Amino acid sequence: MNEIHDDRISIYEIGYLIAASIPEEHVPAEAEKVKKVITDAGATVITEEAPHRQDLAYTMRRKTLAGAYDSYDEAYFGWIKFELGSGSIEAVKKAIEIIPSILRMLLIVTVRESTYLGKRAPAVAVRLSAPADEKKEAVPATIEEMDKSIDEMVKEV
Amino acid sequence: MKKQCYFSQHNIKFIDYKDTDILKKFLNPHGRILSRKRTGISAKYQRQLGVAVKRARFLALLPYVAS
Repeated sequence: MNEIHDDRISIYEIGYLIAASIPEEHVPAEAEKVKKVITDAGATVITEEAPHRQDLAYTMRRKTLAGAYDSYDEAYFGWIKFELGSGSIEAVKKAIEIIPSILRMLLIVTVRESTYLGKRAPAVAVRLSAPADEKKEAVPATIEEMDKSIDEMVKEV
Repeated sequence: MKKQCYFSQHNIKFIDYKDTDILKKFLNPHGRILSRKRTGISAKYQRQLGVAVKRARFLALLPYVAS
């Protein structure tokens, strides 16, 4: 039974926050660590977004090894979507969670199609405005037709 | 007149937790999820929206409580 589950390939996405205490020049290397854990497990990366610095909606606290708490108001947010067997995902999750620079991570099951609309939003707006242009073009055509039919009617009279 | 579902209208099949600009349309100023009665979205997408908002809150993309 377990063997059947181990073979099931799913699409996963990991969103992660890298602590803002990491210098900006070291962030790509930290992101690479996350990617390496995933690819080493035999996953195929589908899409990803490199971490970028952003304000957090609330202050996050994390306990340090010394027992004190570190507070974070900013972090680098990145995500990676990949394909992997369900048997290996638990190990990947645990391996990423213990990377010291990772403040928090979220693993979800998702779909292969691109679901993130953030960058495509203007394209949608363009598409929505397109039918309105077509209507504008259609209106003069109908007026010409009407003029023609009126002219024909006048001639008949 | 009955409102139409925002997600059906825009042909959005899967609500992504990273699309915070879209999710914010369905939150009140305190950061709470608006009811279907207010927004007119379908039950299917209201369930997806709830999950997406909670994921975004976990990663601090959206607040749990906004002042």
